[in-house]
Amino acid sequence: MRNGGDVIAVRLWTKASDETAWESCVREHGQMVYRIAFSVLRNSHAAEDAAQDTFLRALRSGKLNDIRDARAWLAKIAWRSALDHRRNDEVSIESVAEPESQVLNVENQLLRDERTRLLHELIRSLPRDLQDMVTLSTVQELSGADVAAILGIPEASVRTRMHRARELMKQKWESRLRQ
Amino acid sequence: METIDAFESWFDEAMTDCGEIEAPPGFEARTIATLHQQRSRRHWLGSLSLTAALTAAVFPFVVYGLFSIHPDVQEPPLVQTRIHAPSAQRVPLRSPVRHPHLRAAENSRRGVPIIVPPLTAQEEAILRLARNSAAKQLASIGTNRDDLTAGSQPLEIQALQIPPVGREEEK
Repeated sequence: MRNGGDVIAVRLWTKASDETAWESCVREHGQMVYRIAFSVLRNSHAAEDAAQDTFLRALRSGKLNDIRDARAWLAKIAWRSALDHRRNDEVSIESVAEPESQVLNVENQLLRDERTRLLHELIRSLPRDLQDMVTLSTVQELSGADVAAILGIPEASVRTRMHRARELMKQKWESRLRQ
Repeated sequence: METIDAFESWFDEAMTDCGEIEAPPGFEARTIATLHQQRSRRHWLGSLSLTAALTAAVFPFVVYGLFSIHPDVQEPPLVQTRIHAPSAQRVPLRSPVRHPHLRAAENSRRGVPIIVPPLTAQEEAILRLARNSAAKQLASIGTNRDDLTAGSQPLEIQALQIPPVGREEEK
């Protein structure tokens, strides 16, 4: 009987600690997951859905305590989840909406929106492999190594592709300026 | 050169703008609530599926126990374990304690009843005939004692002649 009580106590403790671990995980990596989803979907509602789906997938996949690098693991899941949402929802360009900004100045806000819109147009004009890499590079929390891990390519390839992407985007940007 | 610098600065600013995106307020709370809901749902579904599996496993046995037609279980036929044999066949027990196996006429040591078929009338008749003939023979021996000595001759005992034992020189 005592053994049974111990087992129940351990299970309750494990469950409670697991729930606490998930809560702290959401608080710690929630922003990163949301930004990855938003960088792909460019829609706040779709990004939130994808972010929640990311944590649900992570919950289904196993125990958080068994994961060595939760940040990289969640980033990878978030990337895949966002790609799935983009395929399923087919977010159109018209429905793309920028999130609320903290900038007080309206002029700065307009400049910023224009800059962001142009950047995403340039990104969309890139080949698919470069497109994914630049999209992930826009997320602040992700380093070159993280991007390489998510895409499953060497870190050196990330640098090479980034250079190529910059060259292509510069050409398009210059042609736009000439127009 | 100026174009390159202008693009680089523009690109860095644009990348920074993209990276400064904040999740809408309440995003984390909503996500945590969704996770709790999913966990409780999984727990509930797990309990339900376990209960359903147990019910499915036990149900056939319950149905079989309730509605099955039991065949009338007949008692095994009584086997006559004690043989009503003639009294001459019975072995009187001197000490029942020393010979427990002899007492176990009804049950063996393992509790299995010993099934001994009763003697048929023919067997009893043969037994009786043999006993009577043996008794008659004994009776005839006792009455005709002369017959025993009729064929025999009296024993004659001759005198023994024992040769003297000694040395050859003395002889």
